[in-house]
Amino acid sequence: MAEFDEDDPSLAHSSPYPNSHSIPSHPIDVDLSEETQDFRFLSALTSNTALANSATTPSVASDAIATSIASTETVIPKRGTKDFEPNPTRSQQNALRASRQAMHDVLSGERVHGSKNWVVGYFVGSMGGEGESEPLGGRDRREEGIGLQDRDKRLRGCVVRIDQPRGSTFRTMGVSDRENRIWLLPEEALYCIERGSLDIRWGLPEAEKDDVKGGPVTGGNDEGSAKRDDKYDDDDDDDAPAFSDLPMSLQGAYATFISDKDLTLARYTVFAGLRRLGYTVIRAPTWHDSCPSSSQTWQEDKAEDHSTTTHARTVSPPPASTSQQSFFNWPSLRTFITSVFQLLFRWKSPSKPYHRHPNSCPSLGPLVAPGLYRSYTDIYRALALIPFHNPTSKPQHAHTAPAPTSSPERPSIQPQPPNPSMTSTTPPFRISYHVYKPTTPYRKTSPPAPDFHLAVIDAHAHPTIPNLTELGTLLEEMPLHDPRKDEKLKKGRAEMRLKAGTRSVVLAVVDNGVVSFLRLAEMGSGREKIYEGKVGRGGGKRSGRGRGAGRGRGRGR
Amino acid sequence: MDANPDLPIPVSLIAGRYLLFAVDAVTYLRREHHICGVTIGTLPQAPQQNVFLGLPLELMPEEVRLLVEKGLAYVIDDAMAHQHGLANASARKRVHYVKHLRDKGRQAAISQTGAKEHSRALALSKARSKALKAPTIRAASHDESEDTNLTDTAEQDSLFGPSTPSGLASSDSLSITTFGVTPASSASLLTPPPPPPAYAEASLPAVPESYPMFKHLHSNGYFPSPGLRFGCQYMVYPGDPLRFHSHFLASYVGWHQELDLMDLVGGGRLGTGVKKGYLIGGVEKKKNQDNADMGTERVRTFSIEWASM
Repeated sequence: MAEFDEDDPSLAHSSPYPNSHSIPSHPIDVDLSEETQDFRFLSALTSNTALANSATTPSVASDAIATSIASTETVIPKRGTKDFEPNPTRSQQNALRASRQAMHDVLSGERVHGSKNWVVGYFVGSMGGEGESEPLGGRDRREEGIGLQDRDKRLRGCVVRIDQPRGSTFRTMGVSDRENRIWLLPEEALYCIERGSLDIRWGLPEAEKDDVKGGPVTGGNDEGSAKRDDKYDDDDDDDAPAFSDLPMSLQGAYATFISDKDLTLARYTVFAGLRRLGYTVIRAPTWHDSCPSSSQTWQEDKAEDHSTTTHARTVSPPPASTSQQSFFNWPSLRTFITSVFQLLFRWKSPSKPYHRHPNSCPSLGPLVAPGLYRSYTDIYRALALIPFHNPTSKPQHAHTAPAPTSSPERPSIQPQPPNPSMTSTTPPFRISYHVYKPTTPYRKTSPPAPDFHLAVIDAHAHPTIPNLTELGTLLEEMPLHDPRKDEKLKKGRAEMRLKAGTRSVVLAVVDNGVVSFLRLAEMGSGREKIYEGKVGRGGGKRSGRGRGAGRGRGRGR
Repeated sequence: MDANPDLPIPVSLIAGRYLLFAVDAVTYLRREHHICGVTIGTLPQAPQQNVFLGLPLELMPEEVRLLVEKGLAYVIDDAMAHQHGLANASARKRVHYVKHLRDKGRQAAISQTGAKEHSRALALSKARSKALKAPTIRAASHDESEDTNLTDTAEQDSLFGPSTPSGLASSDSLSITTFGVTPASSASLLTPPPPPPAYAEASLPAVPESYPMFKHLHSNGYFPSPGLRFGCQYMVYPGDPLRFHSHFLASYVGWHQELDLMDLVGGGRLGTGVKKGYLIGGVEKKKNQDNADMGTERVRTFSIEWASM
């Protein structure tokens, strides 16, 4: 990161002394959420947004707060407020005590719902997912009982129903049905309850329950009501609230919505963290472990003009049987086929380096044939011998290989998909969420192409980074985004295009609630001819700049 | 803040992760036992930021193991606890729960109204003193301030109209609408299962092999916290992370495990880059001279820094 960011002209202005070694901190280095901050500064974060109000009525309208926080964030002292090590002074003791008291006060803040923004949701149990765990087991949910007449597939996995949605929160969240009710997925419901925007009841309202065929909502409720009957005489609580009317606590919501398989705590931590920052986070089609992958529902890049590319992506190859998978060594087969095609296409490919200059003949004579050279570019081009991987051309191979027209010289295995291992990703290295930037206009009915594809990895279950195969399959599924066709990147520097890459994926690594994001991108380094760009600018333009400057800067914490 | 929760503290086990929802327990463990955990929940006061987070608190398995060994905590399966607790919650318990929440909601409503009235009174008195201080324009501004006052009160009244969305909120004799409350913990509704009398060795929370080093650092007064973000296993703080910077990036290495020199150099380089020491630790097993089977184990730690010579 340091390599490119230091050279990034857009960031250069933020550092007043680009060559100085004594910069205490670099603006892009500072991530306040990286370490525990003193809770006494929370008021600095929220002072502009009427903390007094939001402490008692957390507002549903969140976007305004998000923007204002961005402007007030600088109020928190970056460093220097913490001490180096404990000493027995009373002043330090008092400071620590005050910090802890502030933390205690903040953590004891209640989630309250004022009359204006009191949104009530009803827990309906799991909506016919595929073998998802149902935390309050024994929920025999008949579809007619919960008003799911349309049997909407979109409602699969939803657990909470909101009859009267209010506020902007649900613009990017949940699924609405015909009756204008909103259905929330577990993570969405949990996030809403956590930020104080939603009051979830343990069951459906009483009136509705009478319509439900088969009586009470749960088997557990049967027991409960029986018990209640027993106790009526002792307690004379005629108006004892029904089980289903009880508000769900935050703890109850966590215990109910978080599960081992579906919504793990790691996934939820990532979801909530991004939502808090204003991103729109949507489940990817490959959410469930059993879902077939490479089902790309999003639109291909508009600038994409490879018709072959889109074709190859929408046609999913037939799944190969496991015996075949184990018999053939697919990666090596793949490289073999790739090289065959490279050989086939080389003779007619005009972009191949040593056909540019007709005089050079590397197999026989000198690399640079004798002659008159007007620029270094020609020489560099003649020197470019090593074939490189072009990420944008890969889908063409994938498309051509399984074509039914099998010519005699091809091996007999040709009709098989060339790389079955490349067609399905394995958990955890598969996409869980699609993420949209806050600035991307998002519509629930027609979601645009996601800005990021996110895979969530629990660092304790999977302590190693993905190997090349896993990474390859993951990147293979990503849509192609050619940096040379991007409006902004096209005009920018080659380094920026290389950094952007053609296909990219974001890994969210969760270590006990601490999330780190890694962006992995495939770059076609051979496509960017650095020497071509350099010629026009006189080559050594940046030579005077101290490249090592500022590296090894301390973070000091 | 100094409230001490009942010991042992029930720690919720949800989908293989250990969570705490009671604020008293969180503060107590931090204050008395150097167990900080990681807050992962959204703060309702400031829901759109990641710098300050709130309940629940996620504990590392190492932390839970330590607490369980000390008899300070015990683990409950929270999904099961809710399932059983809700099904068996007595009428009295439910009434109590709802009443408890209603009281809280009313308090919140009262305090909010109080805060609003306070700020309104403050603004009014300010306006009045301003008007008094400027007697020359007093006559002119008087009508104006009267007008604004009028509109203010009108707004206030409309804010607290009797619009109650749910039947739960009671119509009190007071003109204040009770707010709904979502409690953080279910403790007032559920009775947590009693702690087991003693933990068998096998039922202790599973921990990674680095646990001895964690325990060693913790017993020496350090505050270890998850450190993968900084490229290590634990960030080691000399005091409460609220007030102190961390000193070490710690990684566990088996005593006879061969170390790649590149890892040492990389770790040292990384630690120096963020002004910390790179620390490796392992368990040394010393054979007892009298009895070959009985040996003593001790954790030894080494710190590595980039020397400039």
